[in-house]
Amino acid sequence: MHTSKICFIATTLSMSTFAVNAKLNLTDDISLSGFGSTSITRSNNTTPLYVNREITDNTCYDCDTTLGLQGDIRFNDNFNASIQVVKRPQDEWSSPVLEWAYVGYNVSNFNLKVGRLRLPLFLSSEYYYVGQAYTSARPQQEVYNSVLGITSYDGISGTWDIEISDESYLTVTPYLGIESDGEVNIGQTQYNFNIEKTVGLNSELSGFDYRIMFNYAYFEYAVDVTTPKGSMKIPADDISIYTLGTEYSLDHWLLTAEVLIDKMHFNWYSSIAYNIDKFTPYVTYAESHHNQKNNSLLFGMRYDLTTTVSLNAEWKYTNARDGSNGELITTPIDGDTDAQLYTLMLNFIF
Amino acid sequence: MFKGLNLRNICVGLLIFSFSPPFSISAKEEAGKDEGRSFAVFSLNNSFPELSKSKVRMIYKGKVKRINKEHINLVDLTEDSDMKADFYQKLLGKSLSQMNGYRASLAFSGKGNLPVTISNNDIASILDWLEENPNGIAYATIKSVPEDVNVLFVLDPEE
Repeated sequence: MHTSKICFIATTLSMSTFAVNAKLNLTDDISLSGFGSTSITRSNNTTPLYVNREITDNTCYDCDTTLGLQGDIRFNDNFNASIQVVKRPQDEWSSPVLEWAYVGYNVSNFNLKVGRLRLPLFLSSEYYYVGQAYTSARPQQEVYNSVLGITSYDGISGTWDIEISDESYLTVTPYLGIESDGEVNIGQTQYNFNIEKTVGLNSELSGFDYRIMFNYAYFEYAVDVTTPKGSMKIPADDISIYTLGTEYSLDHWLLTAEVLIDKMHFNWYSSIAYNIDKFTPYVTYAESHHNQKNNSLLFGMRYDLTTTVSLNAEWKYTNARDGSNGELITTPIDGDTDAQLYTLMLNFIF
Repeated sequence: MFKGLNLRNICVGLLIFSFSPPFSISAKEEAGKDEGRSFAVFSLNNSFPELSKSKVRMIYKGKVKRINKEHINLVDLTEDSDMKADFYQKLLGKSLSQMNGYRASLAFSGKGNLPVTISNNDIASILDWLEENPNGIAYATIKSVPEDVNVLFVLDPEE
């Protein structure tokens, strides 16, 4: 707990030091920017909630703590490079991860990227760790956490920007990943993923007030599972993941819905937010089916303190169904499968 | 205490409630404060054509990055400017809080074309910036814009 408090205070101090001016332009073509989130959160269930965050009925000061740095270089009108290093909620401060590092090539309406890239599965994938960029405290966990926090791939992507009319644009992005590794810890069990192949296609139709995104991704992978009792190899497998997301804004309103379908999940959420100057109240309803069965209701309020700092206050009720653990990461010993989650989150960019 | 609670019905009820008249009226009242101010979207680059409202909306959403196949640069006013709040409310129907959240998503995804904010909002500073950026695009109240600039679009108060 002592370390947690130090981390929380350090993050808050770093925010107040740097958040005055978002983005540091070292030159016209080189910029350094950053983002972070930190929270005070607590559930009323003793069993940890959410993979990679593990929130229990003990007040937690670093279950959501995220800090990222991003460097962007524009070499000329055609070539650019970007690197993003993130201390994710599940990482120690001493071991942040390289979330992306790529070289981009732009010509006309085509953009090619090579390197470590973000998996574009969801509407908010590209800014998954940037809490300041979305209304809620966390991306909706029923959908975003169903891929266990695996957010990047090593490979290549090509994006075509197609102007359909003055009012609507289509982007089409096929992508291909080479072999890469990923690690996920769920309670005392460690899963080491060896992702042998990643193939996908992302498309997005957008106008000034809407986005409709569809993504198909195919993975071939093998998993080593390590528990306190020993290790075992799970035979190589593959999975196809389909995701669809829509976002529509009408003046003060923002409506968002996303669904993820694969052989283990049918998860979706729907959210509505209403902006009143610096306040944005929002409500989200979500359901999960197949492997993880639950439904949840969330009420929240975002308050924009400045252009670069915001606060979220949230209450969520999540209820596991049909003998599933729902969003709890292990089977509850006491049989209590529902939880109320309270969160006060601070987000900032610099 | 919540076991067996039908969350779906509660959610539907909340959606209906949130669309109820009091919220809609407050939105209209706020928008009604801004009246009588027209904006010009302009450039010193005379090769840029006149633009539709849709195109200008897409430019300020960061989705359009090129005009005539040339990369465009945008300049923006400071956050404390009433004109800035007015402009985005009229053009996109968005408050500055909404715009800032949206632009954070663009900044960290590398997908959008973000404006540069200059330190002074006066027309002389904007024109100086446009002189240095041949493909630059700016906005200002139509009364403050000199006659010799290339006006790409006029945003009228009733729009």
